[in-house]
Amino acid sequence: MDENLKKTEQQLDSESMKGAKNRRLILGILLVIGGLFYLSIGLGIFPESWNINAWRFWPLIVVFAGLGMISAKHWFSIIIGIITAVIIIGLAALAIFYNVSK
Amino acid sequence: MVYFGKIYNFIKSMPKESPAKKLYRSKTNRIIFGICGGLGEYFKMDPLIFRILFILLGLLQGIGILLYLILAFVIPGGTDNTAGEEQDKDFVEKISKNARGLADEVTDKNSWLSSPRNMLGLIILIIGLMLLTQSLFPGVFVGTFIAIILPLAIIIVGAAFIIKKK
Repeated sequence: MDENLKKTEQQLDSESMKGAKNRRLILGILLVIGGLFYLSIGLGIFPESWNINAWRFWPLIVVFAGLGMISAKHWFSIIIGIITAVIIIGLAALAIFYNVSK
Repeated sequence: MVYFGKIYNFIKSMPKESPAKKLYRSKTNRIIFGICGGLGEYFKMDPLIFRILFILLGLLQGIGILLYLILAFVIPGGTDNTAGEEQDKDFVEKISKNARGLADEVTDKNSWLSSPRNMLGLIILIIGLMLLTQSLFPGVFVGTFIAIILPLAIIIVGAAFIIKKK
């Protein structure tokens, strides 16, 4: 009985760790891309008109709260994570064009 | 293991088919109506996450406040739980969760949507993406949200009340 409980706890731990790992991966990729983007503007590689106030990305907090809740052991969760990342990058790209064309 | 005997008796005395998990407003973990505490107990998560979400949604034209009030009407008040019962419950739930998890892995790969936690995560994810769209394209998205999605939500809640009354 005691051993079973230990096993259960270990499994739950590894499950939540896996979830945290996935979240960290997506968060890390987005942060690196965002950082490189703003660095490029700062260095003059991208035009100043591409600059977007970073605060306008605040709903990403809600997105990551939702992403963290989804259990990571299922393949479907990973697909959702990838789709989310693509949507976020796509929205950011659209926002740049929207900004420039204005 | 002081609780071993007690737990064994508790498991033995449990009905063969456990009743559906019910959502209550928390009495032990409340700030206003105990909605966030109840949600935390239901989804086995820190209520703080729900509080932050409601505050963030509240900043968006007060939608979070409206949602909180609707939930306060819909969710019944909870009963007081003693600490001992809570502990036993946690233990049993942990074991049954483990069994369910193993069963899921072995047999059913399509049960992703049946997990309330996954559904909630997905809904919050979609709300977040909607908020992001609204934040990045002001004026393009706000119109549809206020004009269509919010009235639809109110209609659905109203219909739910009518159906429940019958």
